[in-house]
Amino acid sequence: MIKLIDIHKQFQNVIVLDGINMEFKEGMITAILGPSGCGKTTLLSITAGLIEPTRGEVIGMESKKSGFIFQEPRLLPWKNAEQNLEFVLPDDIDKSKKKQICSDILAQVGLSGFEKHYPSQLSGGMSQRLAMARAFIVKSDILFMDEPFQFLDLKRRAQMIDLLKNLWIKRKPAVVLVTHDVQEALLLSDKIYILSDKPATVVTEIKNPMPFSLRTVKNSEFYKLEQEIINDYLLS
Amino acid sequence: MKNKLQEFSYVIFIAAFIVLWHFLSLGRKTLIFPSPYEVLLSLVSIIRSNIFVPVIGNTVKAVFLSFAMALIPALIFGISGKIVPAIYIVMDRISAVTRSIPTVAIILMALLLLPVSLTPLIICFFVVFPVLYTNIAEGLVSVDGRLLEMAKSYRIKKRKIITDIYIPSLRTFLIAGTRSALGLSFKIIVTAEVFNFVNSNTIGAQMYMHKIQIDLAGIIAWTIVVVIISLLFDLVLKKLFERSEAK
Repeated sequence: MIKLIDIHKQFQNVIVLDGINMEFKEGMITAILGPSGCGKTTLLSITAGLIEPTRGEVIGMESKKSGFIFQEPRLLPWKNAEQNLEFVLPDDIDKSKKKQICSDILAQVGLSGFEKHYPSQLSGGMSQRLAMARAFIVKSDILFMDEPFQFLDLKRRAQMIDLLKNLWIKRKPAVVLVTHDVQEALLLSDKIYILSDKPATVVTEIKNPMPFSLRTVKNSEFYKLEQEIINDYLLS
Repeated sequence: MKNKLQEFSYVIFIAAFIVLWHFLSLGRKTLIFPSPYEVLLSLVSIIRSNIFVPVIGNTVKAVFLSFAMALIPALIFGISGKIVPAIYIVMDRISAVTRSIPTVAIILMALLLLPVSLTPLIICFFVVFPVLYTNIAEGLVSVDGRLLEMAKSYRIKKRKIITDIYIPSLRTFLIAGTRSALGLSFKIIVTAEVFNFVNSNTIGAQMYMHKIQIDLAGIIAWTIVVVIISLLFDLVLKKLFERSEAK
């Protein structure tokens, strides 16, 4: 389990995060929901060890393997799809094994046949699928996702959410998903932390009891929970 | 059509220059001022001589050796300066000071302090290193921070970040820097060879010998050889640069 204890972050005179406490468990997708610009990405970066908090600590990340899906794919433009995946694989795996691993994951994200394509030759949706393949290829203990579907249209977003579920269910690593979209949070996560506007604090923690199969916009319970979050926390 | 016109005007310019030179040499008041024909004869004689290939080989070898001597530390200090800010500050000051030292001062000091056979290489290093280092340091500023953050999030080793992110990001800067640094290396090496009397089988030493014989035609002929080789280097690097841009 990864714990955030009393996390504070200040940039010059601006207090961004003000005493955040959270827990992320293996086998669970946790969403961090909050208004745009409230400091969600900063919190995610602190958890992943990309930036240091001003105060507080992250416990349990020391020996963890992590993957990250960003808002944009962040692929290396001079490497093809296969080489972009190999980049994150450990060096001690032999070359033929690496090729096999890449080929398997590319098939799972529907990119078979695109091994030798460079990012500039892939569409936005394909690039984001490649970025997702990169995150899952490392067999991480914890996966960080920073609004990964933000720049996709509705259809592509639905496809990516299904793809994410299918990939996640095989190993069930801990996932921390940052989003400002209530539906996205409810569709994917088992637990939702709602943050206030800047300086961000945890307003509440909501458990999503519905199994994956019942998480659809057509389900009345799903709709009720969605309205409750919007009216009680985000609009109030 | 426009390109052809430009090329044609270039040829006309060269032809006009040679014609003007020819007429100026007809009315010469000094015996040492050669005509284009005399330079051509001297050039042919140089090319046909037994020493032509070894002379070119020695100088080109020294150019590449000194260039490599400058490139490797420029890369090491440039990249480590990006990772450790203290190295960047120190190297920035050192390269600024080195850049401002007159080349002739470096040549004279090297001749007095160092083994004569090494002077062209050392001199070239001191002139070319700051040029390459500055180019690499500037190139590193343009490395995409988001890619570095991605690598950090996957806990990629520093060595791999250097080979797979920093160096490919630097490619265009490296090729551009190499184009100017190699041209500069050639000029500096030939200048330093003029002062190096140990090895006479170098372009600079050959120029010096023509100078002793007051043979300006020979000096111009060797200059033409240097210009042609420099242009060939530049052409190859330009093609590399275009290929790298196209990717």
